[in-house]
Amino acid sequence: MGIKVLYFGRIAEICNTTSEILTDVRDVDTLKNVIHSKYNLLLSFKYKVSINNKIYNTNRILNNGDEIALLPPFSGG
Amino acid sequence: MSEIKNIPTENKPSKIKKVFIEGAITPEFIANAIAKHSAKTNIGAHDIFLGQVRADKINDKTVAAIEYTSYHETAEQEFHNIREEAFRKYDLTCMHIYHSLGKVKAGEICLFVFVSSKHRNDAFTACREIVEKIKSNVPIWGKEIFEDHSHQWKTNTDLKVSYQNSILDDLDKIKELANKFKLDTEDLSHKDFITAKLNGELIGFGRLKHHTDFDEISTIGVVGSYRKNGIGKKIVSQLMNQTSKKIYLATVIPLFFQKLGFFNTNEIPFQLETKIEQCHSKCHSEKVFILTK
Repeated sequence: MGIKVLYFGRIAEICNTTSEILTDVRDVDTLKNVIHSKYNLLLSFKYKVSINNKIYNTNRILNNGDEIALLPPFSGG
Repeated sequence: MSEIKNIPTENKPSKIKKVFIEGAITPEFIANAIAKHSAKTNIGAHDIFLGQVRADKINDKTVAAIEYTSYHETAEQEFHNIREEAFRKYDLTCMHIYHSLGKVKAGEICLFVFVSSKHRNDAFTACREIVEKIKSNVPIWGKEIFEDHSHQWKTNTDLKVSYQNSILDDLDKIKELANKFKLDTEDLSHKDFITAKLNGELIGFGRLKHHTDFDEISTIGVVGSYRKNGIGKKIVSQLMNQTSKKIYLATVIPLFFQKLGFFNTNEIPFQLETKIEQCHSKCHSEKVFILTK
């Protein structure tokens, strides 16, 4: 088991997938580093991170089984 | 005692309601929604917002449709929160929100907000606020598909918040909110304040309190539903531009100010010592930090 990462909107397009499982990511900053080196275009891309359906603005420890989502700026309506 | 609201059982603001509709929202659907309310004779005013897909022309290409996706459970939860808050704040009889998922062609309806109240004012104000919140808080994304099948990702225009020096008329509202948010209300003068306004309505404020050898950033507040939009940040940076003196401030949320370049200090001007005590009694002894820049 690892961390489930969901991608949405433009981010899903850049990553060419809507989800993947990542292991050995102990916190949000590490996760961002892993993702940024995998998908270089995301480095300059603005997004929010939600952990288990809640948006956090600061680094946080991740646990196995957490659902992380990378959310580009919302554009509903 | 406030009036007991007569909320029909099926519309009680508690359980999560279905918001998403596959494809466009049809005029028949909207007409039916209106018709269903004729039995609710305690309603005196409906306000309806309909979002329609525009055929924008971008670099000679025309938008033919928008395809919507969402982070489903989080979006539903967020719609639920928006609903609950509107019911708490306004005297509403009922409220319905519908948003499209999937493809909606130019000219078709993708958002339907339907707010009903006894009198028009609650319906008008609530409806506008709900629409703004849907645009800023709900994880939904629109992909604009052009006639040649290429696409780009839609961006929402930001809230048109204007920042200005406060006028005397703002002071009552500032006082009311500052008390509510348990902020420093000592020596309030509109001349020290900068306000953030949305369509003339005061939604944020903050001031420079002038001391002999420094200025203090104080009494920063943003109305709950507009937080997390960078409004507080803007107010603070405008205040910073208005002084060349050293700045100090007392806060229970140091992180917010650290992001703006402030740092914690142990050098506490004596004028702020009483403030720390007041802070403690007002904020239930939350830890107070002194920051400077």
